Amino acid sequence: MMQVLIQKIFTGILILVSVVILVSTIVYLAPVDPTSLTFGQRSDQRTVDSKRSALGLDLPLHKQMTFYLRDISPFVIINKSDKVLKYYEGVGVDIGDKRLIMKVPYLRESYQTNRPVSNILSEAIPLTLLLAFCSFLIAIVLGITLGIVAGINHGTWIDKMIIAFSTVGYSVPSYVSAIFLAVVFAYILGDLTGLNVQGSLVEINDIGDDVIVFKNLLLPAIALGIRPISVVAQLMRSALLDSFSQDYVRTGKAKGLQYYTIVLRHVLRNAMNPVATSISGWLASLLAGAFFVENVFNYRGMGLVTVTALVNYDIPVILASIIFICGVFIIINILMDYIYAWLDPRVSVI
Amino acid sequence: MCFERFKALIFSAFLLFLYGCHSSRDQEDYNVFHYNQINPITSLDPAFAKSQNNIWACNHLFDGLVQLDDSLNVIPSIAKSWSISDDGKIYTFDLRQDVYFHKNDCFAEQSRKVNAQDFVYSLGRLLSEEVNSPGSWIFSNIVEDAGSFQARDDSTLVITLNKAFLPLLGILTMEYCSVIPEECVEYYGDRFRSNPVGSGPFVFKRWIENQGLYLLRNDNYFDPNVNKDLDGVKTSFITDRNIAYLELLKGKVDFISGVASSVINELLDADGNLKADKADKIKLYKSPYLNTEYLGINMSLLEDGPLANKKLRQALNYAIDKKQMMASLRNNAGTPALSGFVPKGLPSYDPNKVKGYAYDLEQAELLLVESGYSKDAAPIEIHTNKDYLDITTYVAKQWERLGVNVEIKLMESAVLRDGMRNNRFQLFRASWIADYPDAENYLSMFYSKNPAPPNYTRFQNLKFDQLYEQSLQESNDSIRYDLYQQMDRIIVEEAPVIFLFYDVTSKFVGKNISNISNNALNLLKAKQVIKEKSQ
Repeated sequence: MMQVLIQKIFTGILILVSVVILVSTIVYLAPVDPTSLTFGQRSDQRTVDSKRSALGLDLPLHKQMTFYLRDISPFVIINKSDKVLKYYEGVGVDIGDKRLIMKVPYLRESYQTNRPVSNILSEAIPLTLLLAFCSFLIAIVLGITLGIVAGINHGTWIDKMIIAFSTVGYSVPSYVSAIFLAVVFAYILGDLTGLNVQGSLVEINDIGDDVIVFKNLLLPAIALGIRPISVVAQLMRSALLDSFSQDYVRTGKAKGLQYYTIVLRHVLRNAMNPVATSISGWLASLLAGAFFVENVFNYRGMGLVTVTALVNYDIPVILASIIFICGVFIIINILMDYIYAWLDPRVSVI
Repeated sequence: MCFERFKALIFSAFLLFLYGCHSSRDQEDYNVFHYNQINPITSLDPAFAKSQNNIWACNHLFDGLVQLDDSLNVIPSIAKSWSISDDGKIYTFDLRQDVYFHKNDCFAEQSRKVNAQDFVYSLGRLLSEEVNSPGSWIFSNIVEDAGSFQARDDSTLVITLNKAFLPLLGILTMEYCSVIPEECVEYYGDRFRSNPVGSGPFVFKRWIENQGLYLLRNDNYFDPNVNKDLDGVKTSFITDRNIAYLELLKGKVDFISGVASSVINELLDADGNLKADKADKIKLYKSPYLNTEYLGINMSLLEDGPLANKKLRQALNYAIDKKQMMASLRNNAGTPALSGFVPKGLPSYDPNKVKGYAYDLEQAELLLVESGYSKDAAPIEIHTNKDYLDITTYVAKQWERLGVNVEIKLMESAVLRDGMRNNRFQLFRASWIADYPDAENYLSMFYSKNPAPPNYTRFQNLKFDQLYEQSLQESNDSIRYDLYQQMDRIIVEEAPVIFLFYDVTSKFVGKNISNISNNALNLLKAKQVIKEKSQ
């Protein structure tokens, strides 16, 4: 068991490193000098060159890549005189004139702002996770409710409406629904709802204090949640319909239980299985959708950070975002293998 | 079942909570000027004030030796007065003795007086290889090294140039030349960019990157002519121009600069003024903007291509109906470039002395024939990014009407800029915003000894170079302006650029805002702004 896990983690790291190499090759080979973008409309060559060498961009590609991998690796052996040492946070032991260090990955500084990338990410990641969590919550609660309502009212106009809604919801990409929601609820009905078209979770008020504006989370979370809502509603409905023909429902009725008790206590529990297994599928699409939704609502999460970095060729931020996203996918995949096994004993992790 | 009900209840409570969570603190007593910027601020360190987004914020936090008034004259700031030696190489500044830095933990005693040594440090820092300031170019050819800045005593600063360079005072008005305290830069290190300490009219309070910036009025500011009723300045960073404009209409934002081209027709009439129905909600301040929009031709790449022929370049200039272009694409917000490269708004601008290319299709056709342009020639490629696509398309259509084959190459801004720098494009769409208000800033773009930037066209002309060098030493304004005009005429004649238009600034403000600075550099000076409180 443990061996399998270690093997999986090792494969994950291998994937991560290959992704870093692949992406950094593409980024570094792009016909753009990222340093020139950090200057204004005028600059002098001496400073541009000095900045290039400070950022290591004058080195051959393979060296740039090795240095980057060294910076992000948690273990490293390095010359004691190396200048980069001051950026490494961790513990180390001396081996001759070298030093073995166990450290936090050093993600460097943004070319555009000189701000540490770890700092940028630690601000953006929680915002994206919160957004994903809220849409997850909305999806589960609304999806299950709609699914139950549709299932109970099977064949009626309510059922058909819900089916129609969820079909549309599933087919519409999140950036379309995001723009639609923004236009309808924040612009046309803006005076009524009081929602902002754009805005992030934390804002500064008129006396210079931070305020948390939860309402700015509402539309992005719904926009991101629409697809999962539709999936859950459909799965829930069909699972419910299947369960109704089961023996235990008839037994429940015979016992004289109330209709809603049967649905909520027995049918629902049995119908949850396929829903739970589908969740892993959305986590990935949630993250992808967050990129679009964040850009529409100007919500300062990972999506917006990555897109802005791509436009500005801000290489350290691009690479760090990709490592993060890739890491999340790898972890989700490993976890899901185990969750499947746990949900269904017939599956085993190999 | 109870549990399910409970869950539903929790969820509705959560939704209500999301929705109803406002800050209920009383903010009405505060008079805060709130403006929006499309591009986020990248640093509050004045050594990195490379573009408008950073410049505006730094202008509120920091002061320099000299500053510009709204007519772009250099006037005193921390320097009370100055003198220039006869050979034009030594500048001596007499500093005020009543200027203090903002209170901050980095000082041993809360704050201290600004002295000449601080300027020596701040100006020398721009040249440092550790800082790699994007502003290093301002001194790159005119001072030897950081030792050229010297403090004679606490109140006297001496700048020694290695050659006479009259635009120096203009350069010193740039945000790069702001004074900062050395101990604070050392105290904060890499974090100085987000913990700025200056001496300006506003004190830094809070910056949430990409989301908001809040500055408080500096009660110890030396200049009594600031509006003491304004408590602070708040900046938001709504990235979409349409949404920023809607926020202005709602009164949530007091000031925005420029609007998206998609709302121009809704907002402005054919003369570029506010339409009547909008005029009761907002005000518009317009001014010439020191920004020349053009197509540049890289003279070093032409070889025997069609653009190598001067007559073809002139024909292409004559063939563009710039008046119609401005009317239909910009609602006349902007002046057709019918003079030279030096834009309207600078004192040496004179369309009577520098005559550019007015629309003349016959002349264009004549020149095209004389140039021997072959109809089978490979298309001329215009490289542009999407922001300029409308103008570029218009130009391409006009050239096709003339009988010239044109192809538009659309690319990312970053790729366009890189190609311009690195000699990859023959013809590219560009603009030049004045760094300081002197025509020299524009003409330096054609001085052959300058690299790209600023000399993106790689223009080389002996006569031009001589005039340029002469102008740097000429202290008599009218003679210097005459030299500038001679140079500008050479550019028109040789046509290393296709002239398009001189821009205007459009500042949109709420009805309750007045005394907004309106100048050709599009500077924002919140210290003068008056905001009447809406009842």
